[in-house]
Amino acid sequence: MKKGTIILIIIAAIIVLLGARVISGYNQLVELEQNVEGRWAQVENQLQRRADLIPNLVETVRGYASHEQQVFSDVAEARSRLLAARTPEEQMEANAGLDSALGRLLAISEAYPQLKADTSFIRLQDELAGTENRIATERMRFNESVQTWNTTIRKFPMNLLASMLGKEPKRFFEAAPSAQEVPQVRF
Amino acid sequence: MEKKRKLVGLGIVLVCVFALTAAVWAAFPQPQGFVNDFANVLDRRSQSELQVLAEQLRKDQGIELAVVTVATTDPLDPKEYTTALFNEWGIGGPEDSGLLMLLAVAERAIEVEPGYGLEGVLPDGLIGAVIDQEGMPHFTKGDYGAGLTAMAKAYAAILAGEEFAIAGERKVDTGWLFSFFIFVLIVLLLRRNRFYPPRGGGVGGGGSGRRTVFVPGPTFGGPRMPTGRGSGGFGGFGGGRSGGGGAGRRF
Repeated sequence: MKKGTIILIIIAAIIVLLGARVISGYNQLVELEQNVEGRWAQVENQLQRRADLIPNLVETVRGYASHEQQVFSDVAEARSRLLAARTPEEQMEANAGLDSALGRLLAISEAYPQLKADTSFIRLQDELAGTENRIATERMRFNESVQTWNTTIRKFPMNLLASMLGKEPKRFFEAAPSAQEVPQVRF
Repeated sequence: MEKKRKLVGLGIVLVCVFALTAAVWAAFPQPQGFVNDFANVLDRRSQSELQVLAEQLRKDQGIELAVVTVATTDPLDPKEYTTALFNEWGIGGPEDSGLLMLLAVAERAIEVEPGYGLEGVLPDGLIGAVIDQEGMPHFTKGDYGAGLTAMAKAYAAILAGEEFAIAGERKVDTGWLFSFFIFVLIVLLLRRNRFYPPRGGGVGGGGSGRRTVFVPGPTFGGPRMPTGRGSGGFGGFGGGRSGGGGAGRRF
């Protein structure tokens, strides 16, 4: 065999190997990105679920504390901002706003013993607390998937492929300090 | 040289993280059966009653009920511990139809968490109402066994399709309301299909709809096969998952 042919074969082999590596790397990136998006959809589900609970909660509180107009309109405004938000970043911001407005709404209930004893208010509070725990769980799972994504695209040689495809690190969903205090029904 | 040092440093950090994760992991005891009285606060009779209830639930409806008492959930708070334990044990079958009742003695906490598959039949508000009406009267007196048994009976009845009467809530005549609701639903569905394109992601309804890829994270065991560990030949739970819902109380 001629020397040229051998070199050609070697080059071809290298190209095939590299190609296989690139393809599997690409597939891995697609999979990981899909995973992050799927996790985010779960977070969104729970945010939506909480937004759905709010009108009922506001109505119940209004029944006992009708003059607290400011808080009601704050909550309504924060809720519509969350529903209008489209990108994950916007949703995270809007969610923090809703957290604090809701905190104030629930703080009001402390001043109304009859409201606190209302069965449907207790049920709504349970639903709300449960949903906030779900948000916390889905947030944790989302952050884990972001962590995997971010590490993968920073490691060699995946970083070369990732930068060629314009893939960037994704942002974590951090809990707002006020969101840490999940409302608890205490006795 | 510099690089090597960095590598060694990274290695040490990784080992530490791993050890920490392992320590948190090891904090979860192995399941002994449906009833796990790790805190030794349940009397014989309650234990066997709970055991019978759980066996029946699994036999009749394929639902796995786990009752757990622990001395403390430290360093996690009771709710975090409950969610983590649920997913670590994998309570509930492939339908994610599991229910975990956890009582933490030091925290004076009761937490009840449904798997994804039971969120529809057992909304958080109902779970909380059962705790209030069936559990709390016993827990405040320190009778943990009676409280857990009464709650388990109520949940089993709800899961079997019976209605749970919530104290202080007025009963509405649901006959016409129901037909009206169905009517409105049909109208809404028809309109929605005609005018709006189907939306992805969107509204979070019942539990069964959110079955996406599950990646076992560092702290969660994820679905696993029955392992047969533990005493008394308990076959393990079926690999169910939960999303952190449910309700809890301090007593």
